[in-house]
Amino acid sequence: MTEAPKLSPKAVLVLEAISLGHVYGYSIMLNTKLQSGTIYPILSRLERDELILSRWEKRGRAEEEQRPARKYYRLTRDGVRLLRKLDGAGTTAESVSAGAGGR
Amino acid sequence: MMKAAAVAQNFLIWGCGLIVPFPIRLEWIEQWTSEMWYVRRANARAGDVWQFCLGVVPDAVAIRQAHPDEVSTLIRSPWACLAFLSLLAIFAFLGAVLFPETRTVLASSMSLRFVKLFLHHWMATGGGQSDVLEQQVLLLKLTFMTACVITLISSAKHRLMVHSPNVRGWKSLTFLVAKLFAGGALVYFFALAGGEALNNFAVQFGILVAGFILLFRWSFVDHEKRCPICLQRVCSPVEFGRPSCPLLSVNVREYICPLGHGVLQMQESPLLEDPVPHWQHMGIDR
Repeated sequence: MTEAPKLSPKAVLVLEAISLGHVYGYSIMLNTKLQSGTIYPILSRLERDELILSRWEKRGRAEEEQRPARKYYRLTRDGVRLLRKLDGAGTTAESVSAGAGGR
Repeated sequence: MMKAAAVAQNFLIWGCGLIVPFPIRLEWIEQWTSEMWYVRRANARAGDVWQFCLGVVPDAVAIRQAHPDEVSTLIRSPWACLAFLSLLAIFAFLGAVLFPETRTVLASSMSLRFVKLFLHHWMATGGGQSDVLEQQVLLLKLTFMTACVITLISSAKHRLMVHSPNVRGWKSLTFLVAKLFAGGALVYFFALAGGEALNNFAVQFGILVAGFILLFRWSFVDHEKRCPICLQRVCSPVEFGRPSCPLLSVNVREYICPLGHGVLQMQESPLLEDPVPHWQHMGIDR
């Protein structure tokens, strides 16, 4: 049984933001208050660990609306399971960072 | 104003795209440019738009760190490598000529007197002269020799002259010398500009020493990872064995020449000190 990847509090924040429907890089940044230079490397790592998937929206639709196609992210089954496990164990991003700050 | 900012931001994205590995570069640039389009239209302030855009730098660096073996097309072939280094040296030169004092030094450096002084100082111990040009020559000599000694002591595995087949042949040696020359010019102009900008001779000395050390180390590592026949950077690494089981199978990473001349095997977790890369020829000589 493979071990779940260890996540930093910021990565958990990003996962939670995606689970709440903030699927684009900029909206994740507004929701998590993290910088874009932090978010995008986290998104790459989460995708590498297969906790999220990235997809380009349909280009035809974007072209009809005269805008560029956008890349969006969604949780995989492993990502959903991990988030539920963290929520169940009470280890959300807030509690992880609160625990680290309390030391 | 906003259009100029958008152009500058796209320029930054394209510039950082050069750091990203080639197979994912276009998609990466498209992702950032499209996201920037939406950020500009989201009623964000100009400062926030720039703050978002500047994230492109750490993202490109993080991607490059995650894919260290995917060599940039900028240095893959020997000519591209030399052209890239020369271009950087030209930019450093243009930066150095912004300062009036460095213009004097550079103008003198282009003369035959600089070459004569350089050769004279290489033979003699030098010192005691206050002429600016002679100071520069002495500085170059000291930093070059310091960097050589430090690099050779700390990088025993880069004793290319003894072990690697890459330095056999005039083509390979010429390329190594040309790389060191172009890189040396870049380091020198950068140090000159840096020293003048901060008005500190010690800064110039520090940049020269550090720059030459990094240049030597990078040049030797780069040379080790080139095919001895065509001098192209080897690519497509494949790992064999596991670092945790060195006794069951040797943990090596195998690279291949893009033109099929052979494979280069480098030990990932060596049992002995000073592992030598092993080149295996595949029979194609052109």
